[in-house]
Amino acid sequence: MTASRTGAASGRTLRRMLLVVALLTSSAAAAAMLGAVSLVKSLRENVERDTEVFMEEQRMADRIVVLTNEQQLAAYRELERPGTVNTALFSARGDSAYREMRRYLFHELSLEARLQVESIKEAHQLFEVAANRSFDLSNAGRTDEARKRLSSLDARAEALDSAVSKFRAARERQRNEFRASHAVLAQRLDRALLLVAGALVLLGIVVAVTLLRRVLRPLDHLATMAGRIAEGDTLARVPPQNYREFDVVANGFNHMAGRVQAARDEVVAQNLELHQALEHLRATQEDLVQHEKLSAMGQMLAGLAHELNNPLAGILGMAEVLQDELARAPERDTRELGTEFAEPLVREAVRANALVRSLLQFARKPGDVLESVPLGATLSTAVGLRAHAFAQQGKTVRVDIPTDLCVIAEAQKLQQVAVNLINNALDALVTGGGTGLVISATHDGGEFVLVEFHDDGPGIPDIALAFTPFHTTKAAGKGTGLGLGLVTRFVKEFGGTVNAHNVTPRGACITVRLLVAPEPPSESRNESEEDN
Amino acid sequence: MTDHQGRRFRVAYVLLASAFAISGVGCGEPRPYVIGVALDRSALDGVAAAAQRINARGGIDGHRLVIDTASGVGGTTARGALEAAEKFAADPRILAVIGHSNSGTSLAASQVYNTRHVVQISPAATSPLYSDAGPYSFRLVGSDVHQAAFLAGHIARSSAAPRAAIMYVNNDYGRPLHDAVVENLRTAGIVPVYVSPFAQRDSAGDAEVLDALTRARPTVLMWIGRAFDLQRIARELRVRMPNLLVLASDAFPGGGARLDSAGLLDGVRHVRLLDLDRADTVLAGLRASYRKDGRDINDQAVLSYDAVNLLAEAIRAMGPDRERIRVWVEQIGMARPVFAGISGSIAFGPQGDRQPQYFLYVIGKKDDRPLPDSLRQRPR
Repeated sequence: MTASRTGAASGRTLRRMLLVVALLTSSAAAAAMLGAVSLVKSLRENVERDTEVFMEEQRMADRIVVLTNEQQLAAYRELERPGTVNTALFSARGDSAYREMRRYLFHELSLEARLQVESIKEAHQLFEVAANRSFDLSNAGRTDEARKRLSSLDARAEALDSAVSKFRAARERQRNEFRASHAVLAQRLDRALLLVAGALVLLGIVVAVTLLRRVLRPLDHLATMAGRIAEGDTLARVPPQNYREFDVVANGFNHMAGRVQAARDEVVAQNLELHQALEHLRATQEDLVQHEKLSAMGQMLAGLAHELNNPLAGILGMAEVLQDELARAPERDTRELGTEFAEPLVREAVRANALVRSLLQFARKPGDVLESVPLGATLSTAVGLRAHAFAQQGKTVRVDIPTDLCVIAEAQKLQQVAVNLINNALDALVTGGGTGLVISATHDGGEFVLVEFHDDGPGIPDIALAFTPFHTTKAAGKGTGLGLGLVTRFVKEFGGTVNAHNVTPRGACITVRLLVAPEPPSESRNESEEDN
Repeated sequence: MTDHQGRRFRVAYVLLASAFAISGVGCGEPRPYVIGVALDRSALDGVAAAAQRINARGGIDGHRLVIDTASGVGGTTARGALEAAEKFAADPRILAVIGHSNSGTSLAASQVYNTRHVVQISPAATSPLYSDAGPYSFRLVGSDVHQAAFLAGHIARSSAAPRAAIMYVNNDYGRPLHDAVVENLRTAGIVPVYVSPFAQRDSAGDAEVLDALTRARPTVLMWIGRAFDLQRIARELRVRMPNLLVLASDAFPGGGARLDSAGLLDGVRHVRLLDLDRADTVLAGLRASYRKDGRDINDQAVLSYDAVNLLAEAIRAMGPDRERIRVWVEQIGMARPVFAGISGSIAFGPQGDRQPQYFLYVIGKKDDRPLPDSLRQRPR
């Protein structure tokens, strides 16, 4: 996923975007500035150059007029005082004026202005020719004619002045047109600069918005998510980003957040486990204490039962003797005494004796050798231990097992199995209601005997956890959760299995599957009977 | 120019322009290449002959060569030249211009051509100023700086102590040439005894000029101007100074020397920029065609003929592009070989000037012929 996200954003990198935007902006700004500066400079230079040229042309025109006037003055002086000085001056000024006119050749002039320059030249040519003719007359001593000719010189000079004026006017018009065109150009330049400035401002706004949307907001979002993580919200995640740089950061952040969340969950789970383990440890410790107490009580009970057995045997023997004696008494009252007192005495002594034997048998240390065990007798012993408890609670317990059915087991452990299952049934019947427990056994026709502990209680609430160690449905302190585990372990040692299921409409049935065994040898049976 | 001459002049222009236009317009033919020409009528035949010869040979890479005379605008005045130059420069078909008819007109027009980037080849502008006209202005003649030296040298050799008088037309042609001649004479130790300008076709001061010249008693008159202006005073001048040697500049023969039926100009020595008698079959043919019409061929006609061929070669080499044509022309004699024209080898210097060559001719009873060697050192 990370790879695909990175791949999606690989085409767009923030660095490239910023670089492109910066390049575009700077290029546009630089180009605009350069263009504007260049244009402004060019315009200014053009105007300055044109002004300089114009001023120079005006000076040239002024010089031409001045020089021509000096020529005219020299011509008049020549008439007053004929000599070479004035003609030389005339020629020198003429040459100077001509040089000024020649300079116009290399100026950029309009056709109109250039034509006026030609007019100036023509006028000057005629002016000089007229003056020279006047000089010729003067040199010939024909002063009056020379003066007359000079009048035409005035006309030529006026024509020249007029041509110069026209040239100036034409040049002024040309310059005005030039200025007007430059004014238009400057106006366009202003507009272009405004446009460029507007475009740059727009570009700046676009860049700012882009940075805000593409850079600042993702950063804010990232900071917000980091804050949430810091506050303990490990589910906070950053969505995929448009740019690779942010996408890499987002992926890294999300990866880090994932790991934080996993570590936190792990810690929570470990804490829970530790807590549960601690609770179990405490319960087990209490159970062990209780177990030790019970074990001590059992040992005491076994000793007590053993000690009680002999007096009970004496009491029973004496009671039976008493009963026989009373029964044989001739007096009716005496016999009634036997019936009324001795008989219940014998009966209760027998029952006490049986209870003591059962206790002795239950308290006997289990052996390690599996053997053929008479199923009915063994289970009856177990029932005998709890029959009084059932009776006290108003519940019944019934054993329905064929007498010749033997199974492979160890007798003491099989009794413990039965007692556990009987106790569980009694508890269920007491707490959940029900009438009683029926213990039955059938040979499946093969290797196994199926022993069922069937009650009509409320059934097992969570049957899947029934055989889990430390799982109990009893009230605190009432059970360790190890009973069925112990049952399972013992049955597995016998080569059998234990299953549980609930029965419709109510009740539970624990099925213990045990290997069938041949009938036990008579010695062992005798021993068993002797014990009894 | 008389009215009759003016009418003939205009009719000739119209006919020539029409012929060029008709010859240049053909259905399905490639676009013609056009060259502008602003020259005297006497030179147009040389242009026409060159264009005709080029077109007869298939034109310029299949394109007909058309000559545009700007409907006769131009003439010999600077005003006309400026108008013609504006017209040519504004016409994008015009690839180059041959013109104008003298230094003044060529100089005036040159500023338009250099501003508008049109190649100008002048067959007549000898003014030293033309050297600075600009990179688009070329000329097939040398600068008058060299002619002045040539003329001053001839004056110096005309006698042991020559008394030189100088009459010059007071324009862009005559004034600089006059200055240069005076300068050269002074270098040779000769101070002119009389110097005076004159205005073209201005007869108002002729009497005064004659008197002044008479008083100055020159042995040689340096005439810088056209023949027709000398013609006015020639008769009186012969009477007053029969032995006066008249030496004229190159502008002289273009000024109607052949109109001198009275022989007033006989013996006038003048400068030609070409040896019109050189052995060249094309030149001989062109000369013959002029004589057939009762005219003498002149420098401008021959140089214009060469100018057309030179521009045609440039267009062929560089295509119809004004700037490329300029580069090609500029390189003649430097980056590329000299151009062989009927006027001789053509090569341009750095300022677009041709290496000058001068030939002295003398006007005789019937013709204009080269000055015999026997007369080169001493006056007749």
